[in-house]
Amino acid sequence: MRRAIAMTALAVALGVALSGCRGGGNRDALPPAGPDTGSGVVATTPASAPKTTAPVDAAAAVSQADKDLVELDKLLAELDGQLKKAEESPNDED
Amino acid sequence: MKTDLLIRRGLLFAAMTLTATALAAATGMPAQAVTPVAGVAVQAADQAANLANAKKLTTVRIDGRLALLRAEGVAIRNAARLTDAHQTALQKIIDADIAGLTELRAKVAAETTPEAVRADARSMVEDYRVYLLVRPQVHLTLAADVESAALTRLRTLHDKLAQAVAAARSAGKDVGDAEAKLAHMKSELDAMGSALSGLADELLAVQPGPDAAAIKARTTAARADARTARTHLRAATTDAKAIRDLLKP
Repeated sequence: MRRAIAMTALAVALGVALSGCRGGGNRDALPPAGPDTGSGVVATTPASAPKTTAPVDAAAAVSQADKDLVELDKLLAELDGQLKKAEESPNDED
Repeated sequence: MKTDLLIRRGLLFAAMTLTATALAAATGMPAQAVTPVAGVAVQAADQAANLANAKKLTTVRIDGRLALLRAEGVAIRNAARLTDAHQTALQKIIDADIAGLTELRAKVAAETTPEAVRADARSMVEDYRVYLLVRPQVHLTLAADVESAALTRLRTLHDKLAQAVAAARSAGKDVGDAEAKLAHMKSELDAMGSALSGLADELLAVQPGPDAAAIKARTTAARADARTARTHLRAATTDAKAIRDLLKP
């Protein structure tokens, strides 16, 4: 009798251990990831943070605009140089 | 007395005739034959000189083109705003033209007739169009890419200024006609984008050829578009400066 109980206990323990190795017995029964099937597991995507308009600092905007406008003045000077070189010349007949 | 004079004139005539006869005998040919032979020699010398001059002139014209192409090569390699695609396309044109004109230069040196040199000179012009086409291709593409860079920067600046104007107005600040200026700036940027659309790519697709008028029409149109874009760029920049000033505390 003792031997039978020991054998049964061993068989149960082995079964539990094997189930654990596979990641849990009930997981295989779950449907593939997808819409909620009512299984109690709800797939959710992280909710995007509510859009908030960051307060725009006028002084910072002016400072950035100053930098951009300095760069734009350089671009305009470079542009004028290129357009001057692209002007027609007497050699253009060739 | 009169008789003496006649005798002297007769003797003088006889002496002159004898001298002429002796000279003709010394040259070994009749006086009439000298002129045609000398003419042929002079003509041959003229032709050789003409050939040499034609070769020299054509070589100088080729060298001028090669110098320009090398300078343009340096310009495109140093252009910070040029896109990779445009730089590759321009470098390909310049490399091909330098190789072709260098080969043509050697061909000219070996020519033996003025007609062949003239054909080479025509090839130098029509097969390359260095002045009429390549130079505008380089500088208008550079200009268009500078304008595109400016357009991108101005669009970003417009959006930042629009946010700042909205925030300032919400905070109770008087921003005058900033919204109207923003709208005008946007329309200028849109017009600039239209003028720039396809400008460089269409110009780079133009090929050299004998129809100079057709090529000139394409470069003139591209030049006009680049100038139009510049006009809108200046207007948009002026708007941005005005809006910036309105935002200043």
